[in-house]
Amino acid sequence: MPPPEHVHWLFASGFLALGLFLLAEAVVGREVWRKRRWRAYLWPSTMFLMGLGMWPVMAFFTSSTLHMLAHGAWAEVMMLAGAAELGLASGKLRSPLWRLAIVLAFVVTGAALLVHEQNDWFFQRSAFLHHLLGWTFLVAAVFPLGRALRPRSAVFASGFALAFVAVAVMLYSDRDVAPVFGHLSPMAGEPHR
Amino acid sequence: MTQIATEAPRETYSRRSARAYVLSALGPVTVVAGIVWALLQPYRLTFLHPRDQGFWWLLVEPQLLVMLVGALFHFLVVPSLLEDLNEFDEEEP
Amino acid sequence: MRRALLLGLLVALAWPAGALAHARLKAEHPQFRERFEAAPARVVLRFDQAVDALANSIVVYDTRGKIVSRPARNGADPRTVLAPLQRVPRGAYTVRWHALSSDSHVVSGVYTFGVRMNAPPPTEAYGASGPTRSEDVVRWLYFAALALLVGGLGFRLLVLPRSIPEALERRFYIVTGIGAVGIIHVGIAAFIMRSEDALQLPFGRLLYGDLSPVATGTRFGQAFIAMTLGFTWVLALLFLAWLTGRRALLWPTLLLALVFASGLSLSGHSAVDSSWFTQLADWAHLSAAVLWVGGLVQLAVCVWPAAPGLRREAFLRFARLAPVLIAVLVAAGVYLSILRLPRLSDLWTAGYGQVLLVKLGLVSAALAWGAFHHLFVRPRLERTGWARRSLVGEGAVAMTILLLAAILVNAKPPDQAARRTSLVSNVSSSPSNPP
Repeated sequence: MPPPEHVHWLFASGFLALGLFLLAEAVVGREVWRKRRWRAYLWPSTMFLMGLGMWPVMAFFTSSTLHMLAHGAWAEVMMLAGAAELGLASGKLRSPLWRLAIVLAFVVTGAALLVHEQNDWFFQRSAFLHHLLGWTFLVAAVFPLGRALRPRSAVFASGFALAFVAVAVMLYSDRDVAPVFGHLSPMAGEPHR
Repeated sequence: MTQIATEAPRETYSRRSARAYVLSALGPVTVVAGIVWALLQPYRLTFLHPRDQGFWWLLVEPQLLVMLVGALFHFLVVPSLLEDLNEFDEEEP
Repeated sequence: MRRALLLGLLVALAWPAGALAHARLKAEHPQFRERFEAAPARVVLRFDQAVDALANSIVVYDTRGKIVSRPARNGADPRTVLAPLQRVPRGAYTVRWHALSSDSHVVSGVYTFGVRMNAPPPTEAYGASGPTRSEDVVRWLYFAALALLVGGLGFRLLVLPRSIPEALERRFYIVTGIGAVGIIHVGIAAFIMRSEDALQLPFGRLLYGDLSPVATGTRFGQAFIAMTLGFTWVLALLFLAWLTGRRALLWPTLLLALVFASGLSLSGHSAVDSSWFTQLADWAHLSAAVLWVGGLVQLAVCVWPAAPGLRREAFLRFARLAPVLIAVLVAAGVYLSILRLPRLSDLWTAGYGQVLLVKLGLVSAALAWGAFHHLFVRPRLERTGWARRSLVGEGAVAMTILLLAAILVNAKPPDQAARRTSLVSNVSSSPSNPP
């Protein structure tokens, strides 16, 4: 069983990959990005697989009910958003309303992050990052929403991509052994390196 | 009139090469970010002090993951995308 | 007003932890379900942050509900809480703990240990009452979701193994998709309810309850983990089959679903102390039942409204499959009934037997209904306008049978009840109740 920090870092790598795919799409434009069919499936399938990979986290890390439910919510919305985008890319889904699935995923993820973190902002690094991640997802939900309404907007496309890069950086910084923000509270135990 | 007509394609060309340039830089910049992080926090690279480390600590090394993602992106996604971008640029008037 | 509400929500989200900071249990002595040859002198809990010990932060019960621990206190390290134990004899013991985090939040947990005997699972800790009626309903929903998924897949692959109209295909995926998502959700609800019973906490405090002893220390918890993960893969495969339009992918989906459905047979209350053959019979019984019920649902909900041209073919092919399923269902059911109710009189004297008797009555009704379809509806299928209603009726009876099956899975057969003295059964005779 991997320790929790490793799970965070592995998911950070997934988000970084998502960010790079979407940044590349924002740079070259949708027409070029979709010239090869596999590329249209690339980021949605990555997100779908990340959702699938979140279920073991829910099932194996059961230190509290709240924790378990939060991870289940993330798993579910990632799978849903990935599935909706895959359906749209393949033409199986036609209604543009399905584009709102990723907006829903951002909102649910942000809210679940804030609700499941019961410590104060400055209690310890992970608490700080959970608050920051939660607010990042909530605020950044404007980008997928804008992208759904204006698919050709470079601003929304870039913002959407950079949100994933930011999330990746935060997840890499998470856990006590990663002293990016220092050890914030003596209540959180002995400081690590 | 002639001047405008000759300047417009040059601008377009320049914008499109900038796109190719940015695209080619994404992977290497990510790899460099991983290297810089490794230099700043070498103690997070477990393979530098492998004694008594378990499987997961040796497998999951965050800076290496960043470099790996950047490299995979650069070698697996970017080349075909650059080809398509060039093709698209040539097709466009 | 709307702005104020929105602002309030944002503020609540921004500072949810103004007065909160909950601790997590990092280590414990005795450990979960640890067996001792000599009684331990005390219970020590170590948390990831400083906690305040109250007198009842650690309470240890024997199987009769007698408290065998002394008042708890903080250790030298403020992150530890300890409670000395009386000299305890051979037996099973339940540790119920509560710790007050620095922000006044109470985190809680329960686990068991044994002295010169194996510890029972935490779901049988002192104070746990065993499966409730709500859990019966949840298990029934699980069976129903399983029927939608497994029965739907079986129907598509065995009854209509060819190209079908788009509208029917869409309905098939909607119904099986609801089944797959339902299995995952209902499974989580069942796990939390069982944990709630073990922890004996109100919902607000259950949110901070430590579920790991139930997840890793019980057959139910292990089956929950395996089945949740298994059915997420089933859901992914089902989605892939829909996305790519490849019917062949439905085969591994069905097989995987059938394999993971065995978790119910391995984790049910009656599975304890039974042989592998009994568990296999239980799994065959369940599989045949969900294939049959799910097939009826597909006929009534998908084929009839969405593909009138396929009604006859689907009905006739299902009529050929159903007798096989029913034969397996009845054979396994009779075997399990004889095993669990060795005396015929148990059928009317024991609670388990009485539920089984009602179930047998309903099974007979469903079989008679099926025979009616076979003998009367099939020859007149083109002229019968009420066939769908009749199929819905048979399906409803079958769903009721699943409800009774859910009650039976959660109940304890009389022979096992007599053989095993569980900690749960001691609740009623106990003079004191846990907090």
